[in-house]
Amino acid sequence: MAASVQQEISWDGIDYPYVPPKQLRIHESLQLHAEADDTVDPITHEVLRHALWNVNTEHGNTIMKISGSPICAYGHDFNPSILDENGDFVFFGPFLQYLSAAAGAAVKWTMENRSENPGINDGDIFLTNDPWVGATHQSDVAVYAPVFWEGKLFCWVANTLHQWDLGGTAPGGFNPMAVDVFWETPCIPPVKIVEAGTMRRDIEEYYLRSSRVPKLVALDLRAEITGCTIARDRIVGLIERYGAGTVKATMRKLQNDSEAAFVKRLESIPDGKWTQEGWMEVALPGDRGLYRNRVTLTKEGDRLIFSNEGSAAQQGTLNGVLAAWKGAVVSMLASQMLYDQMFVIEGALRHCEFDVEPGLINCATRPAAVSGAPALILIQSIGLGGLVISKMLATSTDEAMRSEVQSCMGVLAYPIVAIQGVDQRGAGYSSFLLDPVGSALPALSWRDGQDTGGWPWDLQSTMPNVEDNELFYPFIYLWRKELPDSGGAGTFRGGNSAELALVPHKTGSINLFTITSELAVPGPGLFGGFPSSTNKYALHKGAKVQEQIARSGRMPTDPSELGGDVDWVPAKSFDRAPTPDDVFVCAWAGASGYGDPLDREPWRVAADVAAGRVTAAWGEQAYGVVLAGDGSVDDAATSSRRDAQRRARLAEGKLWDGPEEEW
Amino acid sequence: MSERGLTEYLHVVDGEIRCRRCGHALGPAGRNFKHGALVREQPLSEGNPTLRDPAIYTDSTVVFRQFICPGCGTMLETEVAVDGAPPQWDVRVA
Repeated sequence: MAASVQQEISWDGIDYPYVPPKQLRIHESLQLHAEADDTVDPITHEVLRHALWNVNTEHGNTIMKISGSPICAYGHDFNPSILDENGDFVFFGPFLQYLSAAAGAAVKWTMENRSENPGINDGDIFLTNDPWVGATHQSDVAVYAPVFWEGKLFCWVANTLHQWDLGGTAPGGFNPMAVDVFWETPCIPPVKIVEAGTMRRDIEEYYLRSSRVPKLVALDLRAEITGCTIARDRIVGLIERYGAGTVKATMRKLQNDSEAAFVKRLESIPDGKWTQEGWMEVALPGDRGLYRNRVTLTKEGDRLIFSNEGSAAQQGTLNGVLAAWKGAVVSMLASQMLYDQMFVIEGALRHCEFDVEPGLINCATRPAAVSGAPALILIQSIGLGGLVISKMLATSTDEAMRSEVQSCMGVLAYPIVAIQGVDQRGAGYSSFLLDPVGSALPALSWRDGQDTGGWPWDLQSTMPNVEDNELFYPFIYLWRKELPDSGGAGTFRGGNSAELALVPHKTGSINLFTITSELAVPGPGLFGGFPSSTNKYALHKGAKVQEQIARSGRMPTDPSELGGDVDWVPAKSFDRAPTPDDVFVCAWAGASGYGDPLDREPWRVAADVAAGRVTAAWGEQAYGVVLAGDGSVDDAATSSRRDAQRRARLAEGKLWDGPEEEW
Repeated sequence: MSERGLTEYLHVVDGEIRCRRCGHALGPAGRNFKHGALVREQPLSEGNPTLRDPAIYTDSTVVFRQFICPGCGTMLETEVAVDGAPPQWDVRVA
């Protein structure tokens, strides 16, 4: 960041995002328990390491058991974590990684701003959804509890859970029309929701008052509080059994071991600079613009510096806060460089800097609208972050690091289909579809991406059952199916994605909002790989599918079999309301390809065609593989076609004669 | 001789970026290798048959840009390029 800009900025979570100082400013009334044994024997360390891991896992499982939300049960849109007495991470949970990075900022902000008034004491639990303090957007509510031992703050347990609805002008909280934060769910700076073990009824009522579904949100609040309570009690139990100094020594060793592993991996990589750009679409309904999102990674010795330089200025609904952007990058570091450290991300964070320019779409300042961040800039930045890390790892002398190189993940922008109305039982509902959680895994440098395999940074999320969704909401599915050719072509193919088609059922209509990007611009291939498919919304107005089924006696299974007029619903919309005469189709983007498709072993193409993963026509066009009538590879024809395709490349390619990008 | 990997198909040999397949030189390590490669631009649908015309959604031009080794025809890298922006200088090692 330019020094002149840095001088004027107060990174305090008010107008600019909160950036914790190296030394937290904590009121003297809050004493930290910093004492740790000098060493811990290896067996005790392993026992405690996994005990703490289990505390975190139990924390997450508790949230799932109590929350009735499909967002929690299927999307696993939550993550627990354990932090030490300074608010530094011990364990991330194995759920939605990016949420924890934001919660860590919330803990540190609370230590700095709440330790004097109202104080941080044993039995307290705090809550916030303020994106400039420590939430990825307003619907992601962080709940966190201090763990005390002998009157001193020993550590923190924290979780974040996406909520059904906390109010604001858009049901569900994703607002495609928001021109600023005042159009969105209200922001709540950290408040003490539980004081000395007792729920603050006044704070709870304030929290629930704006929600369209307060009873469900109240249940989710109890899920978060109970998760923290159980995790806190379990850690106290470990201290009682093993001693505070031993438990703290284990936490320190976890962080130090993670750091050592990270630094060793960095030593295999030369200094350098890698960048990746992506494109955000439609700032507000009616807009047709594209806006650059760029992640740049610079390696200098044992430091990694992530920058947002070159990204577009904040505007419309496209924005995200710094906490979201950091969480995005950290998610891929954990996945690609610390996969064997059980999500002890602190080792990497000690060697990472975030050199950000505020006021850009990925580091928004108040009062920018930020409710769409997780579906838009956050998730795209995860994908771009993964690509710059991959480009860096490709230069490593360590084969294990090179094996983590991967193409662009599927679903660079989550195709939000927010639905609201009166259900088949006459009750109100407000939610969004979780089917695109079945994203597509990227291709690695040595294997294909898994079809509808999810995301590489999210180990737990699952697609909801079709039957469950039909029970929850007033629609029926015509189909949900994997899409051939949706994964990018390459030496190794990107994972294929999927498509669904819905018909409103036992309701007059469904109020439907869309928020996404990646309708016009697909995810890029890597090292010669081809791009993925894109997201898609299509409303088939007047398809009258019930009449079609009655006439033909069969269910349509493809958009080409649907009648009616096709409305290509844009990336941001709020004015569609499909009725039982209509069909709404949504597809989500596949992952891109890795390496030159002409290098793909022909038998793999034949196998893909036989399995319906790639069409024969695309197998010939992109991969140059010609199949015989029985589906086997025609070796001679394939060799001839590939030679011709290479000659065409050389004949048609020209040296670039335009301007060069400066760096 | 000093050698350092850069991408799947490229390495830096004695300060020069070269194709690993055929040894073709694409320029010094301090310059974007894409300016030593052949460039071919095609409609997006050539990159993936499922892609719809971007004009449905945007007034910007979006193309599938390919960087090809002049020596052997290997597809070194691809981009999705918007509004004629210059090739991204996206990999650089010291």
